[in-house]
Formats: sequence, C-alpha cells, structure tokens
Amino acid sequence: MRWLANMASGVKSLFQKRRLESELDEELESFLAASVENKLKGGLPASAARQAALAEMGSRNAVKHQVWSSRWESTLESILADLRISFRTLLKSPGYTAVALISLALGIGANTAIFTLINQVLLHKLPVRDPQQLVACGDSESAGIAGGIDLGQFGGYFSWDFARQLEADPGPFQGIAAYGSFSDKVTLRLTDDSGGDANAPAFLAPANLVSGNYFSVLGAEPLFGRTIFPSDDATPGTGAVVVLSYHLWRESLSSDPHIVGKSISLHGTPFEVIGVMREGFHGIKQELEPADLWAPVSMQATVLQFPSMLTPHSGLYFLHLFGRLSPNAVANKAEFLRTQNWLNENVHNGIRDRSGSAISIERQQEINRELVPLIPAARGVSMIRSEYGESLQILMAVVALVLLIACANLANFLLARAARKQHETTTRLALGSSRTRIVRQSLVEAFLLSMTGGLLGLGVAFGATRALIAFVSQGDSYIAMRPSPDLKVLAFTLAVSLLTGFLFGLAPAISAARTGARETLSSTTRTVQAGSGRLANFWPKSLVSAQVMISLLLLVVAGLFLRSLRNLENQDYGFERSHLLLAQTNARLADTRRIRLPPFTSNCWNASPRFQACVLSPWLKCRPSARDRGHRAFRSPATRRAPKRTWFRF
Amino acid sequence: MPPKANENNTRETQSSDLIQGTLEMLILKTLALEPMHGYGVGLRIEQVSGGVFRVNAGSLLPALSRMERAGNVKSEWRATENNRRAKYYLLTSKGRKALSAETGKWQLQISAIARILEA
Repeated sequence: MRWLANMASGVKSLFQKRRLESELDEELESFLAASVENKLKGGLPASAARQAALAEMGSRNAVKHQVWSSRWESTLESILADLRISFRTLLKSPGYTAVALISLALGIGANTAIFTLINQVLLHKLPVRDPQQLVACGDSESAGIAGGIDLGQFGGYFSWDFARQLEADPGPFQGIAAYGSFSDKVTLRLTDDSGGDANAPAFLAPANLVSGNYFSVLGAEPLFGRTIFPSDDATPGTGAVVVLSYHLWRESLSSDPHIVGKSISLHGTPFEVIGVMREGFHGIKQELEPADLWAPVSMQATVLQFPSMLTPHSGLYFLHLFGRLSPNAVANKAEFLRTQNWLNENVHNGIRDRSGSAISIERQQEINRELVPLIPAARGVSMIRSEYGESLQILMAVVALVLLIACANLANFLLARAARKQHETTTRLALGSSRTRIVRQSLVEAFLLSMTGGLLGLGVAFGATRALIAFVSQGDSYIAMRPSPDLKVLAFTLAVSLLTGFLFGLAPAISAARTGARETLSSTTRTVQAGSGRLANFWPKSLVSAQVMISLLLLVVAGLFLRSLRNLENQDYGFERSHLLLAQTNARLADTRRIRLPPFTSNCWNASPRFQACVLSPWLKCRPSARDRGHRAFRSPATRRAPKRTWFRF
Repeated sequence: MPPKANENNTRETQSSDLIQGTLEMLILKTLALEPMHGYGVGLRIEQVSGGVFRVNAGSLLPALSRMERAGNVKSEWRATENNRRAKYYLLTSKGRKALSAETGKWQLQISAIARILEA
C-alpha cells in the first residue's frame, strides 16, 4: 500500500508545485536563520555570520533542484517538458512533420492491416473450451460429396455409417463428432404463427449438417436456448431443429429475443429454432462464408435437397470427422500415437468391411497403408488458411521491409536535424544539462512522431483491411474476416510504433550523446560532426545504403508481382473472351422444385434471340484444389438442378 | 539514488566524506532522540562526529525529502525555541524499524571489514 501513498503524494505534488516550492523556500529560510544563529553563538559578528551561512548553503536554487529531483515525479515532469518541447519543434517545421507522419502512418498502417488478417486467419483460436485438444481427422479442407474412394481419403471424407460407429465408440478420444464437409445454402423463410409462409421474405443462408454430439465435443456453449443433442440426430428424417449463428439472428431476425421455439422453414420444411450461438462462433470449419445454421445430419435429405445418404454402405462420403483428445494425449507423444493408431485401425477395418468378401493381397496391403492423420484443429479447419496463409506471410515480410525503409528515411532526417542543432546541444551541455537528458529529449521526439504515426496508421489499417477483405470476398456480403482491430491488434500496433520510434530515434540520440565538449562553442564548428570524422559519417552512410538496398529489393519483388498479375489477367483460356456476358441466376431463391433444367434452358434461348450462343455451366459445389488427386470422383449435389451461371455470346 | 554527502565541503581538511548510503541511517539515529529541524540534524551529526562529518543543505534536505516520501519520517511546522517557524522532522514507527535494520546491517559490515583489516 506504501507505493500507492507514494504515487498519490507524487501526483499531488505535481499539481501543487507552487505551494511546495514556497514551503521549500520557507524551510531554506529557516535553515539559514538557524545557521546564522549558531554562528552568532560561536562569536562571529552579525554580517560575517550571515556571509558564512550563505556560503555554507551554496546556491539556493541548486538545493531546491536537488530536493525536487530526489522524487520520482521530477522525472515525469521533465519528460512532460520534453514532450512539450518536441511538440513545439515539430509544429515549427510542418513540412518535415507531415512527411514523417505520412510515411509512418503508411508503414505502420500496412503492418497493422496485414497483421489484422494474419491474426484472424492464422492466430485466432476457436472460441470453445480447451481448443488445443481438438484434432481433425485428415486435413478436412475440401468440400463436396465423394464416391468410389476409401474411408478418410482425399482430405478426410467419411460416410454416415462409419461416422456413427466412431461417435458411439470414440476409443481413446474424449469424443468424436461429424459435420457436413460443405455448408450448402438453403432457402430460408420466416414463418408466422398461422403457418402460411408463402409471402414471407426468403433469403439464402449457408447451413451446415452436424452430428448430435457436435456441440458437446466441440465444447461450444449457446448464447441462449440449447444446442443440438444426440437425441435430435437419432433417426434419419427426424429432428427438424436448427441452431442459428449470432450473425443470422442479429442481421436477419432483428435479434428477436423470443426466437427459441419459433419455426422457420428451410426449403419449405418447417424447422424449430432451438438456440442461438455466441458471437464469433462459426463452427469448426472456418469458411470464407461461414455457416449460419446448424441442423442435425438426420435431416440431410431436406437440407441438401439430395436423396438420403444416411444408409449403411451408401458409398457416399460427405462428412468430416474431428475428435477431442484426452488431456494425456495432448501432453504425451506416445499417448497421441496410440490414439492415432486406434483411428487407423478403425479406418482399416471400416475399409475391409466395405470392400466385399474377397480381398486380394495387394488390396489388403493397400488398405494397411492407408493413413488418416490427426491434424491439430485448435484454430479450426480452414481453407482460407491454406489458401491465403503463405501469401499473408510474404505480405507481412514485405510491409515490414517498407516500414524499415521509412525508419531509415526518418533516421536520416533526424540526423540532419541533429547536426543543425549541434550548437544548441553543446550550449545545453555547457550550461550543465546532463547527457541523459539530451538523449531522452531526442528519443521523446522520435516516440512522439512514431506514436502519432501509429495512431494515424490505425486509421489507414482499417481502410486497407476493408479493401483487402473486399478483394478476397469478391462481393460476398458477410465473411468470417472482419476489419475491426481487436486488443491483440492494438497491442501489435503499439509495439510496432514503439519499436519504430526506437529504431529511427536511436541514431540521432547516439549522435546527440556523442556531441562532446570537444566540439566547442566556437563559431568555426559549422560542418556536420566535423570532429568525429569517419565514425560520424557511419550512420548516415549506412542508413542510405540500407535504404537503397531494401528499396531495390522491394521494387524487384513488386515488379515480379505485377508481372504475374498481368500474365494472369491476359491468360489464354483457349477461347474468344470478347463479346461474352456472364449471368448469375439464383434459381434456388425461387421455388427450386418447380424449376426443371430443360424448360429453364429453353427459356434462356427464347428470352435471348439476340445472343449467338448460350452456355449453361453446371453449378459445381466443390472446388477441388490441385492437391486432390481424386477429384474426378467428386459429384456435385446440385448438378441436376438449375444452373447458377449462364454464359451468353453476343 | 544514493545520497551525496558533503558535495561542497572543501574547507575542512580533517572532515571526511560520508560513506555511501550511511547518511539516511545517521539522520534516522539523530531523529530517534528527539524531533528536530533540518539544520538541527546537520548540526547534531557534525557535533557528535566531532566535526568529521559535515552535512550541508544540498544533501540533507533531499535526503529528508526522500525519507519523508518513503514514510520513515514525517514533518510538521513548529515554533523553535527562538519563536521562529521551522519544519520539524519526526521518526515514524516504520522509520524506527528501518533504523534497527540498518544498524544491524551496518554492525555486520563493520565487524566483517574489521576482521579483514586485522587478519
């Protein structure tokens, strides 16, 4: 508690400096009087006694200064004074200050913008209990329905019956849960109490199918209501319940507090709303367009509008699996391996069960080689991460270099100013100012610049992040990445600003400290640090060469980037690209059941006699990346229905 | 910040610089006898040490201010015997504890140094 009282009295004395000073004056006066009295007693004449007492005490101001600087608040006060001086100096040269602030704002802003994205894409952990225990079975990044493959292959596709088996017996796991590998968009209508939904507005929202134990294994709590329970997912075709995301509840249902228990229709089938998840929860799969609804796997036929895949040995693989490791398996490698082996064992048995009675030896060996790696999923499963992670890291390095250039530039600026101020510095030293004080003032000026630059940079970052996200999302209204900085980002910006200030303030500070008494006050000392010769030229020279070097490097990199971008834009696709129109239709917003492909196509033809050609591109749900060797096995659930994209040639 | 003692004292050849860190202990000891004003403390130290230690205002007052901030002494304005107003310093209970701790440490160091010098 003592330090608290110390703090309080320090702050008080800062505000009552005048009163304290007069008190100190009075004390000094009484000190002097006592000293004179003592000398009179010793037999000195009055005038001599006063003379001796004054001489003994020395400079009264010096004593006062010593008393004042014995307390911590004096440091604070002098820093405040430094700040004031720096502020005035910067205001006096507005051109220089503006250039410095703009380059700092751009440099720090770019760093903050990229870090905001990195923070969200690479660093953000799932908002669930003990996320470090979560593992995905296989990389689980691609999406779609696969057939003719083995369990767990091509990025971890599993069938419903196998998922059921592991859910019931998770072995060394705390639990294993399944979810649909993609979040198909469903037509969502709010139904009123009378049950008539014909006129209610409809909109599309991505819905994810999840197993009954999905939320309990994930360890996610709802904001209110309840999550999906295993009882909801018990029998295929039953359990028409749905959990909403915070985003959907807020944006589309106007935060209706009585939503739980109400009914909404998905593809025309009523579902009961049982709960709303917390803000920031998007499920274990972090998609660019995150899931807004969660329904039990048992309702697959309704939600996906696709014949039931919920039969044993359906041969259709559309689920991903994830598990929660035991705490022991997180800490202990051997235990983790045991868990991994248990999963592989089960997968091998599952493949054998599905391979028929006669298994050749080669096939047997092939099965035994199959592996479903357990991949840490504390940050969720994310295609965004693998798609953009590396580019973000490269970008981070590039913007860090840009900031370094800005630092070098400013350091040179400040060095030049320090050279101009050398006369002033020498005067201050001669008048008894301490070197620490001069270095401190130089650093304070640098920090003032860098912090203001950082503040401006936050604004730049906000705009830049928005632009980047808009570029990535390509027009999607809501995606999982947000431009708003959180505490971590603010801390990052603060740290970067401080580091920047230190980097470009260091050289001038050192040069200020080097200003010795040797560079005398004589007016002949005009040249820049003439006295210290080669050493004095070291800083500016090395700064300039570093600056040129990094700039050149960045210029080359940027040139290459631009060149690739141009090449991509002018890529030869093998067909004439002029005179083409692309029409996007959202047939599913209308009632999908009434639209059949042949009439829709002929309608397009009839409606567009002015076009030379009309091509309907099938709506491919899945976008298999080059890594998925088996992508010819993918089938889109929606190819047989109305197309999403139509090409016209005119 | 270690106390700087006798910074300006160059007149007396036989007077000696205070050993670093001992000024506060001496002040505590002096104040343990009775509350005193600043000059009184300096005078007492000079007299008791037989003129070896002279403490001037430049070191005495900052030390007192530091100790007041640390809570070892507190101050109040009183009238002197000559009816002048002066700031009197009083030892607090915390200061008393600090004095005994400092004294103990000092004795230990002194005897150790003595043993080394006599060896």
